[in-house]
Amino acid sequence: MSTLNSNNAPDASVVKPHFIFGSLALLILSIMIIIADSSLLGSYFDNKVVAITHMAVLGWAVMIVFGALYQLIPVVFETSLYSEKLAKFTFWLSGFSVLFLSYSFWIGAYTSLLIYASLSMFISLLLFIVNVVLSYKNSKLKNTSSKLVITAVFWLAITELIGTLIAFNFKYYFLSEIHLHYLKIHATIGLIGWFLLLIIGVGSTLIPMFLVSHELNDKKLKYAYYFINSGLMALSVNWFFIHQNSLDVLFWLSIVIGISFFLSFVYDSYKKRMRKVLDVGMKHTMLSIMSVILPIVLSLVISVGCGMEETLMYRVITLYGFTIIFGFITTLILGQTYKTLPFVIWLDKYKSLVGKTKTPMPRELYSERIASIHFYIYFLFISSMILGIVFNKIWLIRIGSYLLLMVVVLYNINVFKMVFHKVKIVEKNE
Amino acid sequence: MKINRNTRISTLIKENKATVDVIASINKNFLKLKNPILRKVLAPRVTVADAAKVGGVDIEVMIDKLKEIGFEYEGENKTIKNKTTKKASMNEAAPLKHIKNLVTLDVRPTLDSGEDPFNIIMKEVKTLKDDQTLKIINSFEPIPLIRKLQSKGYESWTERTKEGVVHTFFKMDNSKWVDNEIEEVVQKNKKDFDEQLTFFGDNYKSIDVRQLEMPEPMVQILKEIETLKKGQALYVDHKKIPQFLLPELEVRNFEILFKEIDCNHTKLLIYKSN
Repeated sequence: MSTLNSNNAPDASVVKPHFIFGSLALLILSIMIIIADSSLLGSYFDNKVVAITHMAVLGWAVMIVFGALYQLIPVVFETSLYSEKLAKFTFWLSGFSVLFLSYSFWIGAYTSLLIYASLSMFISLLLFIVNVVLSYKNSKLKNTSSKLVITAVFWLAITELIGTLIAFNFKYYFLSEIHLHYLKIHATIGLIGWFLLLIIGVGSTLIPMFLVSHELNDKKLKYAYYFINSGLMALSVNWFFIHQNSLDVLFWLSIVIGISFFLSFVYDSYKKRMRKVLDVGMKHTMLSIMSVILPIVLSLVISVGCGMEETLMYRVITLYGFTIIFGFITTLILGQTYKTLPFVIWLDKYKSLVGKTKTPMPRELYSERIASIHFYIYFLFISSMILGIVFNKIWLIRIGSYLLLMVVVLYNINVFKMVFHKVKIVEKNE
Repeated sequence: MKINRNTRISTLIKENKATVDVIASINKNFLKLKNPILRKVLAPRVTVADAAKVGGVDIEVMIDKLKEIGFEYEGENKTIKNKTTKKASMNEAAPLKHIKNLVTLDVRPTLDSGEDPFNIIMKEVKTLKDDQTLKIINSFEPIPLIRKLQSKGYESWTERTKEGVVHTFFKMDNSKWVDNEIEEVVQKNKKDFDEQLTFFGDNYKSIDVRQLEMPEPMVQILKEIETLKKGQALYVDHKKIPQFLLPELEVRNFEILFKEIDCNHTKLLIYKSN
């Protein structure tokens, strides 16, 4: 009797390329940061900074998130991915688009290449959205986690829509406000609506699973969902149509309360965990979740600190973006790579052998030592960059950027070690 | 190879490729078997008896043809035959009186273009309101479709207006208990779960994998099933339905039944398929 749809897991050939592309994009990104050098201390909307941001967010984070999400759809939605073919096509299109888009920003081709690049990016993200939404339609599991994921995808659609409008506006001028106003909405919705909600949605399933903790309070997730979404929705409506800046703090508070509920959920999970020792993947994850405090504080500084000197304000905004993208998102992805990719490869290579012979475990597919080393270097990188941006010291930025390169090289070694893993059968000697 | 009326057409084709030509030669209703796409869709869903009905011929005609290419027919089971015939005739003599709000869908052009109309029909069914009746115009009786929709609570009947044209009607039968498919599956599974558990008595081995980190639960379960004795089951306490384990169990020919205790606890019963 096949009452359960038994093959929900996607093929490894759908997931793996995303990890390969993502880790290479991270390598390109770290080189871009080295070349950009002092631009990082200029304005946050400098060509190179914007190119770096898009490479980080789309080439690195979104790519890995896509791959991981395809793998996790059976877990979060309890259904299979709607179309693997579409996922593969989306991969190639978004891979191309990210490089194209980043390049357009880097050379400052705002009125020529950018339009095509953003359009191509728009289509590729849309294809991803279609794939996820259609999978969700088949889903049997409509709980808070899956709701968070699907809402995040909705915000992604809004983000890319605004992004594309901005790109078109560079040439055709039809928007009423200055670009920076829309850039603010674009970035806020992208970072909070898409990344944060997605991370909460997927994290609320995975963190308890990896820590092996039971009986968690689903209510906290629900509150997180409603507080963050209503705050973000009100904020966007206000920014688009009402322009009452004094209300912003209220919406900010709603979002922060929502995040606090999620933090409290993670804390419960951590307290009740059965696995006492954290592996390198979970260490990254916990560090990432804690670091969410930084952008919260910075966003408050930005929204009330009107009297600040302009150049300092620019750097604070850059720092805000940095703490979200590198402090929160990148740390999390570095860690979750070690939880997801080994499992994907292991499942692909060993599932038919498990139980019949002794097989290695997923964690034995990469070097835990290399991962631990880059975890500590990464910590130094973050500290050095934060200090560099705050105190306007280019030498700290330079040290930071080379530290990042070291992290990335080590990380890539581990990723490719996993990707090119050959089946090893350990002799049974019992 | 020995066959009976319940042997699937796909099994026959697998055994002997000539089956396609032989059946197709019976009459033109069977020509669609030559279409590889339709064959792929229909053959696994249709038995010898169904096929005879689809083609509008006596099952004996089919069997004689199949005997020609070396299939052996096993002794007829009269009771089954009667039952099937009775069900079939009931199906056709269904009331025609309450046809109102008729929605007609002619799938013959789709068939002619070599595509499987199944999805088109199911899409139409989804939008069908409870008081509407769907009329499918087809060149054969769509047995798989009828079964599928009957299981979803639709009543159906067919009319053969002229040679090679079959009208099939579907209407939601409100008198029957109908719920969505998932609920049905879950209910069925619950019942089966308890039945199977009683069937195994105390001949099972139980393990609790809730304390283990992924993918240890999967590894443990796969290890355990390799050591199960004949007729023994594995009774597992798991956090949830193990999505990535399911395909592997299928490959290894194991059945799995589940029973949800609460959102953090699911019992699984795993045993070798027959």
